[in-house]
Amino acid sequence: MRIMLQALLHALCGIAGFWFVSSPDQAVPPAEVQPSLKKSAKPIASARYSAPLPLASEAGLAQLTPEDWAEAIHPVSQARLHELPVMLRGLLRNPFPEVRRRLLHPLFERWAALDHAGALAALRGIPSPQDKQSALRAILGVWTKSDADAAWQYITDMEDDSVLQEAGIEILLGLNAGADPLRYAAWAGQLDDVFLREKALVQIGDGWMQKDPQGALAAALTAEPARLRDYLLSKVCHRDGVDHAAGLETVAQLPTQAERSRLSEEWLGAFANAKPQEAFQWLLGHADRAELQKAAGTLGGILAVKTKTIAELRALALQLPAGPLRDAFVARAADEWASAGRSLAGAQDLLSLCGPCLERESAQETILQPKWENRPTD
Amino acid sequence: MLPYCRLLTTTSLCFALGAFAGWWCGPSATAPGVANATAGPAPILPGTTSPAAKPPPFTSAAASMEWVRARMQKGDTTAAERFFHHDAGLTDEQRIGLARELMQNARRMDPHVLARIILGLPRGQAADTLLWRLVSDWSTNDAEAALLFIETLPPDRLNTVGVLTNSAFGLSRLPAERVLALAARLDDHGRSYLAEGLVGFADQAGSWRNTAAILAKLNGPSPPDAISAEWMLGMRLAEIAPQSLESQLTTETDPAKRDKLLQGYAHETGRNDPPRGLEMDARIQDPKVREKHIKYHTEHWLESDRTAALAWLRSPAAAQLMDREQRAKLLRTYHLEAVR
Repeated sequence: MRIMLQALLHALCGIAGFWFVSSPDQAVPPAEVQPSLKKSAKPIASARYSAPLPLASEAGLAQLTPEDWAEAIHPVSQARLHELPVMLRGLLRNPFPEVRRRLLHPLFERWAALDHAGALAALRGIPSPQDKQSALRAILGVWTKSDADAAWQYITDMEDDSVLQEAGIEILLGLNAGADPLRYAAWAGQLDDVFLREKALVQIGDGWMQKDPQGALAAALTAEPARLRDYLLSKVCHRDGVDHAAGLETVAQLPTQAERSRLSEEWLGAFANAKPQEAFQWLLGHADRAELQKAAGTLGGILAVKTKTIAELRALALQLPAGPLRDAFVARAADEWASAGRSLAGAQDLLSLCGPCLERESAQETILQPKWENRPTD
Repeated sequence: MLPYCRLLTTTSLCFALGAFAGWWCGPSATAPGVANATAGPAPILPGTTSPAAKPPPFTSAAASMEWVRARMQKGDTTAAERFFHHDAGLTDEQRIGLARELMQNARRMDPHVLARIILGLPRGQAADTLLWRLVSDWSTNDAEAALLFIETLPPDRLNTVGVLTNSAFGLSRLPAERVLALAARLDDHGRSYLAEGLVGFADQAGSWRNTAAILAKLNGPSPPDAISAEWMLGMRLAEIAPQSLESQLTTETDPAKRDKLLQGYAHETGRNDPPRGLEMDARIQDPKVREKHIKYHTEHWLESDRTAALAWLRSPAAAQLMDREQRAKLLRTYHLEAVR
């Protein structure tokens, strides 16, 4: 019996040895790998399997994944000053940009709270511009609470890194401009660099629309510079809680037909996405306005997605007076109906309500595409 | 020798013999040619294999993604790659479907892993599109690492709009000398795509001071079929600072560059205001481009204010800008005749 057991043990050891070197993964010859790709997570992954590391250690931070990064927030935000450089090194070794972005924020918030100058010095040593920007955002967040003027001065004086400087301006505008957007807009309007001016105005506009969309809409027509007015009018329609009918009335007051046409399309599209029936009723009430032709097409496209039957769409279309608006509405609706994989016969039926025009030709082209050949016609 | 020591020695010997047998049999288990016959297995990282779980049989891309996420929670950050080994048995279509799913979840993935997977896919439109999405996403989140990856791409994948224009959003944040080192590896098309992308994103990322420093040294001839930096500059400035563009048009001394600036300006202006765009189109020097612009803007006008556009098409102003046949064709679409 003992001999049998020993024989079995030896056989098992032999099998284990065989398995050890010939597991399926190792049998696959690695294909040629580009040098830059070879250097990623290998040491991290290997170490990870062997033993878990303290989360806040250099190696621990280097190994965090998008699945478990949040566990490190607490240790990072409670770290002592001398631990922060080590943590930063670990984080910068982490291969996941998302993990770095998320954790650089609490790390630099903590650093800025404990040693403001040290945090700024450490920030400048970060190689990735996006990581640098995440760190700067955290530092400026802390700094503006205690001394916003000094924070602005620091950014204004940063002449050796124009990319970081402009990121800093955007961050500071995001933190401060909401309190008095028009004052900051006046400042931005004087910037000579047109691209920086645009970035600043977008930042101011976004902050304003987020904080008070109705207020932004009310002030949009008179906002200066004119580029801010354009930006607000083209974007505020997509914000929750904004009154689309009021916005469309504001747009109707614009001086040029081209502006009214372009912005009505934007607004009616946003209206239709939020309240499709109300948007249609609004168009019906203003169907005598030539500048709404393009907007009618956009509405037709959205309603084609939101409406269940072609009969409903037909009924809606027939409420519009014959002419450019109805044609645009019908053609775009038929186009969307066909593109969404619904009945081609239905799309053709709807398109029969459309007069001769470019929109009709375009929809016809969509419906007759060879790729639909195998689709049932009704 | 104690009995236990003897037992230990003999079992160790058996283990070693087994290991030798395994080593001996291992390579021949995969017959030469089998690996090559399966289109390009994704490379694997040596050293991460032994504790790695084998992926479950493929049922759907979403189910595989769930498994990848579960493995990543255990620290197995390269798990996704094992679906792409030839012994996982996925078809090319399944591999592409799964790669798409992984790209949808790119924020949860190590971009190096995604890069290896995508470069291992069979070449084609689907793989190229994934590569373009990867470089766009990667350079947006980590321009430095993305640049290191982009630099290793072979010329036929590197010198493409998809790679260079898409990555410009992130690359514009890097120091000019780093981007110029990449530019030195590019052909004329590649440099043109990069320049176009840098200008296109100038109001969203980086800084114009940095971008201008790059462009100053990228300033070679644009191939005729590429969009030039001037064209893109005209387009961007038309929207954000038309007055600044007007003065650039006045001061630009190179007629070719001036015409490209004007083309971009007219293109963008006419999208928002077709009659004004048509006025600008008339000033474009390149006859082919002028004709294309006029057709585009007239059609755009017909779709945004038909009544006014048809009246214009039948007017002497249109007769000066478009040839008779072109006008007649558009008017016939509306069952109308040209006046003269």
